[in-house]
Amino acid sequence: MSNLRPVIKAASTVLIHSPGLVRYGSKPSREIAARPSRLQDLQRSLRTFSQAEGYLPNQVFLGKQSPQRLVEIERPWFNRPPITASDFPPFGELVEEEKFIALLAAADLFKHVSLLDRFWDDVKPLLDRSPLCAPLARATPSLLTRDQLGSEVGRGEGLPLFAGTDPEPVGWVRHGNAQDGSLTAPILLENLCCKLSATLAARALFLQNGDIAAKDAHFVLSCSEEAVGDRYQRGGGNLAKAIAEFAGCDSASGVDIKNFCAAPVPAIVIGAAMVQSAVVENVLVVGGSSLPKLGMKFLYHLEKGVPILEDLQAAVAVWIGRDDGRSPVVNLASVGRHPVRSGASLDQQLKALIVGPLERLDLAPASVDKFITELHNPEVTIPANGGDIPERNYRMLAAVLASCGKITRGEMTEFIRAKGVPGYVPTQGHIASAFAYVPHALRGLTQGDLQRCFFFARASLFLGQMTQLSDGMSVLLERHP
Amino acid sequence: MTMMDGRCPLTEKNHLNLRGKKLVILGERDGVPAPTIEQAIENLGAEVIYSGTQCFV
Repeated sequence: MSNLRPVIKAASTVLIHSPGLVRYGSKPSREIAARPSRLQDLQRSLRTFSQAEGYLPNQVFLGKQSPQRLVEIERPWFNRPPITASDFPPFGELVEEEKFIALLAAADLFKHVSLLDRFWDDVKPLLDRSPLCAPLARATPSLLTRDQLGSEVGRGEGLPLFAGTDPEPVGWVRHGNAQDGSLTAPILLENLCCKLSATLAARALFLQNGDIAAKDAHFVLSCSEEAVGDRYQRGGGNLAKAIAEFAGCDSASGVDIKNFCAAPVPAIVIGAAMVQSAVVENVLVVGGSSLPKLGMKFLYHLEKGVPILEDLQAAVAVWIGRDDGRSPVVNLASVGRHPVRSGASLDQQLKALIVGPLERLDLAPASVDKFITELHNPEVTIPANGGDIPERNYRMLAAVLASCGKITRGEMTEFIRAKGVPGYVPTQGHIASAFAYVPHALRGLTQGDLQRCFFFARASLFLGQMTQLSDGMSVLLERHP
Repeated sequence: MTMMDGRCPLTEKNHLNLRGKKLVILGERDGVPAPTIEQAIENLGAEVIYSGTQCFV
């Protein structure tokens, strides 16, 4: 039997510039409903595509710049001249909103999404010229004339779609079932955005890795944060198979892995375990975007004169396969779990997720090059009084390691500097939870000088009000021996 | 509850008496979660009327 050791062969990221969809984020939609003038306030602070494209954290997310640039270039990043040169080939691309909206209609097999005919005529050539998007846009979607679209908006049995700040709608999402709270237009839009963005991440992975083909994916694990289903099984899934179908993974089946924003790490562990146990040969792990989190902190940003930085949907795809003699290894012996008995306190979580595995493997923290955790962009969270999330996590990790005698108190500051990664990821929950760093880790573990990266993620289970607990999981990614 | 150094910081010996008080506990997932605060004050006689942890990302 061939070597079944699981390795990560490829990973990709995509961003979708979504200024017109920000209004449908959870916070903006509630605020606009309560005070309609908020929409104009929000629209005045939106970024252009080129501003989003040249924004340093986005360049790092897409792999054009190293995370180290975030340390070298002082904040604020949003008012610096756009960065246009790339230091590295990208992991994926920033997709324009017009293309994304047009592809929402292609992603919708039930014809709930319709597009303005003239909008489709304008966007179709752009799609045809895009290697990323063209294969997804072969069929003509359901089209409406301007009058027909106006009638739909007038009836109000759905949701209009807007591109950027243009007040004229370019599309329409009809309720799947107005009496079913799980199939209303806002829910369908959220699920379609997740499906489409995950598919784009998968497509980006195939485009950049000629030796990996969609047909060779045997199993797809979606670790996204949406909840697909109808009123009888809200959140029952399975978005993974819908993504597999849309991405052309004809040989694949799939399931969803749910664990709030920590789901990607368990998905990687489960995918690697499926490869190591020979259940399947190749697993594609995908995380689609989170529409509700667009504009989550927009009121703070308006108040403090910061542009709406949460104008981006984000998605990640990771390909796990059998040992090829060169790709970084998923060390399943390293997996850290957060048992119930560990309770909810952060220090106990970190002991379970980091200290336990290090002791089991007889590894010192110095043997790990990077500890990867929640990498939310601090430029988004600090104005909202949320602090620098990665920095706080690294500070706590250093304190726990010091309290366990793994490092000295005097080494804490250097540990945080050397072993941490600055935040740069859009506040898209699971995408920021270490997942977005996988392609950077691959680059560092193959072309760079990294030897080991320890990924860990924590889930806020209490948000669902079924338990006061958190959860989490960790896993070590190692350079091929 | 014990902190990282093994001590319990909140006790009646520390002159923190919450007997007869009603408490609303708001924790934060990247700081101190609500169950940890509950454990810290569990022997101080207060009635916890709400306990919840917030997540800001």
